[in-house]
Amino acid sequence: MKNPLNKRHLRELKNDFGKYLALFLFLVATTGFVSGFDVASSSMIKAYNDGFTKYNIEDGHFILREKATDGLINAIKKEDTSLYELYYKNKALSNGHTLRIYKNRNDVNLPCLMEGSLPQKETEIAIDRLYAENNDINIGDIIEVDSIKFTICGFVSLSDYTALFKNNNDTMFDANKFSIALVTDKAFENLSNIGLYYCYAYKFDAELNDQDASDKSEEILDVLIKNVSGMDTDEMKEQGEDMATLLSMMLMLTSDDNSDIEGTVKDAVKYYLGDDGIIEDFVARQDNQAINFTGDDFGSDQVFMNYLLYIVIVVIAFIFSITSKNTIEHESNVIGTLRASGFTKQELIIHYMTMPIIITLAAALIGNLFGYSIMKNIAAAMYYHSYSLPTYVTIWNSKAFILTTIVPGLIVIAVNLYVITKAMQHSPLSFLRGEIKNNNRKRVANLPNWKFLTRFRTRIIIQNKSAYFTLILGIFLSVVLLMFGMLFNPLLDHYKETVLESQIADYQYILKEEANTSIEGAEKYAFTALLNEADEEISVYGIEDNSIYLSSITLPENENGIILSSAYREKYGLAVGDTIHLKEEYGTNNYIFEIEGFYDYEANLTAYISRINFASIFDEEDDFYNGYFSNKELTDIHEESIATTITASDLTVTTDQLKDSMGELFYLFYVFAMFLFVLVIYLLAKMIVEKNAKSVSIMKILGYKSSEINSLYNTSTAIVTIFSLLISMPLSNLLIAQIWKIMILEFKGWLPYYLQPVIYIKIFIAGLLCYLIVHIMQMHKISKIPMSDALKSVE
Amino acid sequence: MYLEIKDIKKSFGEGENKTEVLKGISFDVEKGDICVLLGPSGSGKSTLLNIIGGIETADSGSLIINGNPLASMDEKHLTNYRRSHLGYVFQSYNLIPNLSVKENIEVGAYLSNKPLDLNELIKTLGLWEHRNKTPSQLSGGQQQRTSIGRAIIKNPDILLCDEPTGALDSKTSMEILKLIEDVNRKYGNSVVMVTHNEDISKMADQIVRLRDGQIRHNDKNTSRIPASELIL
Repeated sequence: MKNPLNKRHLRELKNDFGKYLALFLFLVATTGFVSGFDVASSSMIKAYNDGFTKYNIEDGHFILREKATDGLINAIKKEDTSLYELYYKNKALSNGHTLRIYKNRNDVNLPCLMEGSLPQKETEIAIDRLYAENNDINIGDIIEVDSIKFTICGFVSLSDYTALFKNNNDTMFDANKFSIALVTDKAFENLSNIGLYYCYAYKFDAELNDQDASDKSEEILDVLIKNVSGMDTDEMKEQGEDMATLLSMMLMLTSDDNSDIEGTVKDAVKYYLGDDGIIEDFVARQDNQAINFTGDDFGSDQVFMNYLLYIVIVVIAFIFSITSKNTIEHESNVIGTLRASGFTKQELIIHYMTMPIIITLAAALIGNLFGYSIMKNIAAAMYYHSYSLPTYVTIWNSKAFILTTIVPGLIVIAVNLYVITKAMQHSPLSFLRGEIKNNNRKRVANLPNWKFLTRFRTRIIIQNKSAYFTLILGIFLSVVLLMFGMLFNPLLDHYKETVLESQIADYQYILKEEANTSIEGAEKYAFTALLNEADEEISVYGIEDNSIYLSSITLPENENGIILSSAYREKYGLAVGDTIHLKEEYGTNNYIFEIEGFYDYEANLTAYISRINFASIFDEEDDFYNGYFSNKELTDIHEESIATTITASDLTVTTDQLKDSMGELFYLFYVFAMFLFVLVIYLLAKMIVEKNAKSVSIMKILGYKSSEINSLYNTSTAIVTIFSLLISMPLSNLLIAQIWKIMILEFKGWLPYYLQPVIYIKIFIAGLLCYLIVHIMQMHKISKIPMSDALKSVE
Repeated sequence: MYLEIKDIKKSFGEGENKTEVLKGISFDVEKGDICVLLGPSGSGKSTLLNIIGGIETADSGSLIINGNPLASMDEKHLTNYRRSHLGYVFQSYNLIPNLSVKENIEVGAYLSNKPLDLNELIKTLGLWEHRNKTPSQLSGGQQQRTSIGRAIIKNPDILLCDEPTGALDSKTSMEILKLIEDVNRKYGNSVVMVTHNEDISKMADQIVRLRDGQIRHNDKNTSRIPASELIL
């Protein structure tokens, strides 16, 4: 015979449809949200990973200042490695954006055509889909490059540019102002050679794992250096300077102007050393942000989303368990009778656990369907809005199913099993006598001689402390999510403002070679990029002692002294007197500096020393420089001499890109948090009123008006809600600030935590509005409780 | 003897607050008899019933059902004992609010391997017309009939009734007592009924009078009258 108690479930569902529907829908939305992201990201990861083979993605590339010689090409080929020309031309558009133009690709780093067609004619150009989307560019539009008009024929995703990093060392990619483009071979030749880069992609003949591929790339670098300098990397480092000295000594014997000859020889050697030499860049695939950033981000998104799901599930599980516990207390006599009749504890535990488990599993299943259909597309659209991804095929993800269905089910089972088993520990007699409430046998707490209403409300709060505790927890979680959703855009705006305010100069140039300017106000500086202990790139500036652009810096006289930007200090928690260890990215030189002060600069992780010290430390000529600060554009420097120009818009790339790609996600957080807020308050406030239905009924009999009863029961909830809001906001701020600190360590560069003060007010108002909705619903519920409830012997 | 109660003692509280509720109770109940435990409030009759029902443990003494001692039983065995042998009827009916009359009785049937015929029992209980109603749609008497139905459907060896008419008017009380009597006669269960109403004891085969935790009288009722003739 089937257990007749099972018939209760459907009736319970019907009877309390609103509650179960709210919980069900919320779980469906949460599961759908997470599973949609999981499925979209895992499907895209699959497409992304398959892309390495499908699109024949390089194992690395290098850029030379000149075309590679046959000797070099052959030397690399001898390493069982294929080499492909991937020359490109960086072209500035009239709107200041940069287009990196390649020839149509047939061998390596193949494009995925997203829309339209690849260029067939000299006047056709295919550009990155995301850049086009960000700039409202349509197929058929005309763009002008080098005074040549091109028609947009298609949108592509290049497998080696799924994240549009202009330079591999950039903090953030820039899909708003930077795009790759493909043209025909002829069209490529038609463009001027200004901005031409001799880029070569290499691909190993054998499939290698990451570690082996990385090692092999080192070998390729060695071959590369050996072939352009005649030495291998180690020899070059050891012998480079000795050779320079030796050659100079030899030449000094035949010349009167010794210093010039020495300088010439040193320059000749250095030309091949890499810093300013023939090798302009070398990037192994493992280090290529444009290739790897996207894949890494997918993984971190999944982890974050799953944590979000589990936190929500724990809150829901507690709501379920408190509801079940409340029902158990409410049905105490019935349970006592059933136990006295021979029902086992296990049978009743299973009975009270059934509904939460059914609701959770049903919601998880429907949520997964929702995730696989609607949410997946929304998530995919968000990913497509962030990255230049190729097309993907949705794949069944058993891991996502386990994480979004089995794990939440287990969480609900575990929490409910604990709470319900604990509630069922009482003897049948205790149930029959209604002695199962923990506080029944305890003395009633003594309250101060407050007004009657205050004491009454306090008693309600004490009586429902577990429900109110869950309410506080739920509100705290909602506030954390709300704050997370609200803080992002103002944080980026604030950062942008700070960065612009602290901009050193309107124009900052990094030069490929020395170049003089006659424009007034231009100030020379020396620059190099080193890696710190965390392998993060640090910009080291050698500046003038009396710099007009960095006038507030007091430069250290000590050669080992250094001034760091405030961003560096904040990120790594440094103080004056600490030492930092910096090293070359492709070299073996290490540098130790002692921090002598900080400069208020939030835009980047930078370090400052005097230009004289710079020359001495990095073994440059005393008058060495490779950059200019200027508030005017240096129009008299030839474009080919300039490696990079940094203006205000370059400084705000990170914020603009983050805002663009993350904005929607944070909006979703915001909406999600609001729902959670209403749900938690609604369910718990409803439960508290239901629990006290008999008391409410008695009060009505005694002559209390509904409004007075409201002021007792609903006001108690209001007090707890407001209290929770007030304590949750600063606590959430502290929590998020800590999370931010951890997150930012994973992030290249610096983005300081900032909570706009008005967010407190916004959250408080949003919280109150949510509560108001629930309050009105509960007022209605209280007014509907009949007086006969108090008289009924049957509950 | 079907039910043997030997020297049952029970006290509550500790130290100065210790109250001895049962001070060594011993008596037997024959199979198929109606035994009424009679006594004023605080006499220990409900505690004794709960000990017989296995929902409260005695400090000492023993309980033997059909030759099987109960004293050493753990909770699992006690549950099985209740499941197999006992039916419980309380003063407050303790019905499940969202189940119908029929389904509430089925809750009892579920616990038995050989339950009585459900429809026949509902008719016997006089609830056929109300079988699909929920408890809130029933009168007190009808609710108590339902709770008796729930207790009796598994055809228990012993039906324990704790003040079954305590919340009912005299007319309805009479009907309920008549029903208990009918059930007893029809199915042959032993009935142990707790009451403080002297008149009810007249329908019993055996009357155990308790006062201050002790048996004052344990008598066979030779002048038993049918429940229908009781004057309440």
